[in-house]
Amino acid sequence: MAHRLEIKDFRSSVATKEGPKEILKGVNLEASSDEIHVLMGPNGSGKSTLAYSLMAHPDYATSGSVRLDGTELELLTPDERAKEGLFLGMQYPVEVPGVPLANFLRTSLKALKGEAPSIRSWPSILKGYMERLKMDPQFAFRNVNEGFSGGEKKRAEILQLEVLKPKFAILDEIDSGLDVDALRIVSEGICRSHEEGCGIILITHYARILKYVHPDFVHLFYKGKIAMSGGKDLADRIEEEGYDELIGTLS
Amino acid sequence: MKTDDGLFEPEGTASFDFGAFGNMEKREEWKYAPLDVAEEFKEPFKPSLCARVLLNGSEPGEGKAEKLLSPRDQVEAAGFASVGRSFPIRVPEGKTRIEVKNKGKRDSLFLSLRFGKGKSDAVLFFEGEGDGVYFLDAAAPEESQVTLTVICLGNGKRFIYDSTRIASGAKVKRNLLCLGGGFDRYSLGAYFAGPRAEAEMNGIYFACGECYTECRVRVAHSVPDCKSRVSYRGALIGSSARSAWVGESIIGKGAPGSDSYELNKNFVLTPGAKSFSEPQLEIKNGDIVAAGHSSSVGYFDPIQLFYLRSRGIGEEEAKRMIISGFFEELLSNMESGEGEEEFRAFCRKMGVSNGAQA
Ligand SMILES: Nc1ncnc2c1ncn2[C@@H]1O[C@H](COP(=O)(O)OP(=O)(O)OP(=O)(O)O)[C@@H](O)[C@H]1O
Ligand SMILES: [Mg+2]
Repeated sequence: MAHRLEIKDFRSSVATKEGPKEILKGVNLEASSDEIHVLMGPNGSGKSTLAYSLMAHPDYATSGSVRLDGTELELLTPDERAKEGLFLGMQYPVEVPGVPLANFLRTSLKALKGEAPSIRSWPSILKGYMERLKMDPQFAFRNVNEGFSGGEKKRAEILQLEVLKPKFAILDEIDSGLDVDALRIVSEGICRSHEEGCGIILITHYARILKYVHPDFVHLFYKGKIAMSGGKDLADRIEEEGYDELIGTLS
Repeated sequence: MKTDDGLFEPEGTASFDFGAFGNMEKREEWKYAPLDVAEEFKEPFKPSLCARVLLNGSEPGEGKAEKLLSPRDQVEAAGFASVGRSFPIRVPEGKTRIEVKNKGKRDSLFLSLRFGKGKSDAVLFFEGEGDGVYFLDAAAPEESQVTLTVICLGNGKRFIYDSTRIASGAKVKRNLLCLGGGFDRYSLGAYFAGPRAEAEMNGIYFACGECYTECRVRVAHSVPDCKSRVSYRGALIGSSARSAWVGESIIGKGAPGSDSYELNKNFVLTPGAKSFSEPQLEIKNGDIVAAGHSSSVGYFDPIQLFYLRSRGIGEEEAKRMIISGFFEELLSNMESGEGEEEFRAFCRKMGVSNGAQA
């Protein structure tokens, strides 16, 4: 059965020296896990803020409603949201010194599912996932994201997505900084997850990833809101016309 | 102040006379430690002889042992005047295990460790809730490869004075794990007695609850072409935990080609806990390879925590992983494997893990 993510009048602000600054100004979005939603929008429009706020990042104070399969997430902590099935692939994945990727993922699996593969079977299971993403198996022993190149970090995010199997994944600029081969490999990972039932919300600046990940909906994010929605053709229009012109047609 | 071979000459008072140091409250070397603890150790005392020493499981013979350096603070001088028993120990190649257990009253004892040629790996434990002043005097001969790991466990009040003389071409690794739960003030010195020698000094310390841990690490370069690396990391748990780290690196006039680096990082886990970190570099020779230091006191990075939590890992467990990760690299540098088990056990007790046993 498909999962549903419902975001209603979602607002988010950060604390600044001059007081709270509202960045998200009432986001509404409904998505089913058998759909792929793409979010595009100019720099600074609030896409990452939306991604972080949905995952309860500590910098943001939020209001409104976020429901996953009917469960209200608004008051839950990041780990509780992850347990409800939400996943965030970050624009800038964080380094965790001294914690090998394999240990991290196993601990995470255990936290999410209540049990993890045995220590003995885990390396070969993980290796299987890594092979599909053409990751050197040595990455399992390296500390999480430490010294990973930009592209390697993104690949490691998709590895986590595939291992953890959430209900819904928000992927923030997962395609930025990827070479052409990596873009294809990462896209394949996203599509595999989607086929296994994971809903996808893909934040991107480039239509090139849409060659591999076919969106059902494209939303134009502007000044903290969804300003326009459409199908794949909206992405093409953005690419051709640019944001200024498109937004101009709105006002 | 000079050793027999006239090598080690840092500035400041050095004397076997405990009265030579002046008012403790005004002394630089006592600016961090709680002086009420030092109070009982300011003057020579009658040692309880409670401490037991085991060398590979059996008691070594007592004898005359030579202290190579003069005391550099009052407790050291008073403690040395109070030494009840001395143990000159020859450390052969291969593995050696030494235990110093004190479950009784205030004691003072002296261990001199003379390492043999070749490769030796010794571990020394300080255990028990007893108080004391302990002296450790190690010497690594020419071209030897020495690893000496000291592990402090238990809740005693301890002042430890430990120095290592490193002869030419020798490679010495000095690891320290301060995992006590009482009071530890550990002074560790390494000095080079001949060129082309190397010292690697790794340390991990915890200050938990009410406990106080101070590590003072001194490396003296007074001969050419030696290399030293000092790397210490500490964590503080509990709002009244206190730690201090002082790293002195001295490069003398006669030490061209010196290469030294010292690093200290502290992780404050509980608000209110206080950690002092003070690197001191004293360079009297312009013709060196490198001399650097870095020192920091840090707290949990909320973004790192968020990242782990966004993967379903609960706050407490995420914190434990971050702390354990903080020590992991240093632990693997210690190589000898000694202390790893004690460290892991200590971490389990403190609820710290890097996910390896998840
Ligand atoms: N912690 C913060 N403090 C102050 N301003 C912030 C904070 N976080 C976000 N902002 C501001 O909110 C706005 C939205 O930022 P956000 O990162 O969400 O944009 P974005 O759409 O993801 O942009 P990009 O395409 O460049 O990644 C920006 O103007 C940014 O400066
Ligand atoms: Mg962004």
